[in-house]
Amino acid sequence: MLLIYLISKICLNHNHLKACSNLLHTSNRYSEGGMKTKITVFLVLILFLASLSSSTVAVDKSNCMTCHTNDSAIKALYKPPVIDTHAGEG
Amino acid sequence: MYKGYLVDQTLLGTDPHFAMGCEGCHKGNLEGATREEAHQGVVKRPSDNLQTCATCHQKITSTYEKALHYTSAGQRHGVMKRFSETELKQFDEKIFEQSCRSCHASCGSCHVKAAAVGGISIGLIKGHKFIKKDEGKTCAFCHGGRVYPEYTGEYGGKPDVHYQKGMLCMDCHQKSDMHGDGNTYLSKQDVKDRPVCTNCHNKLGQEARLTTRTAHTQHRDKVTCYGCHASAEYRNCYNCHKESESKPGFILGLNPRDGKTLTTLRVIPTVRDTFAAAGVTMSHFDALPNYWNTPAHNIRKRTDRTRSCDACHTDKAGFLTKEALIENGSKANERLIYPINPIPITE
Repeated sequence: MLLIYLISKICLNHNHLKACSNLLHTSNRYSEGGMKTKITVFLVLILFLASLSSSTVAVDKSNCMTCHTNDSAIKALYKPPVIDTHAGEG
Repeated sequence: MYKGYLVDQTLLGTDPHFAMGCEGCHKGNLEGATREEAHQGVVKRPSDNLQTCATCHQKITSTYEKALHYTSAGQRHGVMKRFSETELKQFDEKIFEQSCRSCHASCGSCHVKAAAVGGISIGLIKGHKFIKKDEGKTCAFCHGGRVYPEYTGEYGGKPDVHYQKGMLCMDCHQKSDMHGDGNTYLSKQDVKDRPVCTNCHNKLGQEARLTTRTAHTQHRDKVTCYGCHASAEYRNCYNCHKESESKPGFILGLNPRDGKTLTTLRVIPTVRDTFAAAGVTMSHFDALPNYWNTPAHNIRKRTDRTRSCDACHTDKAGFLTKEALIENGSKANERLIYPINPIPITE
């Protein structure tokens, strides 16, 4: 997954997409038609995987989210603030 | 209130702000096994340091650091003439930074989590979503004592016609009013581009109806739009903080900023001993009045004053009088009383 993530991050970046495209051109010049198909399929596969993984790569898997997305956990941990009733607000 | 800490999980994969992880803005200890350990070094409101947002939003933060919502300079400027030089220094040290500026709006106060007013916050606006605007929660939380409920009619009174037509705060107040325009202002009065009625209603005196045309032509530069079109009572601070008068009021008087235009006035919360508890006196308290001109946010096309000339010219309904002035108020208050009675109708 990590590998897919890294490759997808690289290829999703605009400049790197250009690089990927250049790579395709380069391969056309120096190899047979079959190579072109293979690279195209590879890129399509990478982009497909990237689109699938884009929602998961941004998810914070830290401890923060364990509690801060859990309604009952936050409710249990929450301590209401002490309100100073003497403070007058304008 | 605990939901003020509850993050909407669906945002995690869709909002680019989360790509840096929580620690990107909030710091803290990711390895912490307990709540206390995890919160070591945590930054509760990361945007209090504008540089947090400046990483990506450099242009906005560069103007915002001079904006009145951030500096709160308007509050200081509004009261400073009441102090001697020594008192002003005391005010700055003891009150302005700790109190006035404590609820200044950072980026997150409007876009993520409402500011804490008096230590109380309504919490995350929408599950930690970075929202562009949500006036009912963000503007209303700080401006909800008077202006917002007066605009919506929530606390009685007639709602503003603009609200009924579907307009909210940001339909008149521009983004630059919030984010600043790069200039440093002492008060909102100094901002040239702030909203005025004539931005939209720009054909005054050219109306088809004779009475409307005459009224607008005759009163131009003598009475503000609010003077006639504020629908009725609006909220003043003592309407809630003084039990015996817990109902909205309507006050017409001379604009303290120019001393000649008739307009709606609102009582301000500074009284003679406001800062006494902090040991700060106001030697020049009487330099400023206890009423300021106010753009009442309950505008209607037809009001008692647009229907009948007598409301002002004979009855002087709602006009500030000596008897109606607040007790032990500033000596400058008397200068706001419109002196002519009855007001003659000129051709």
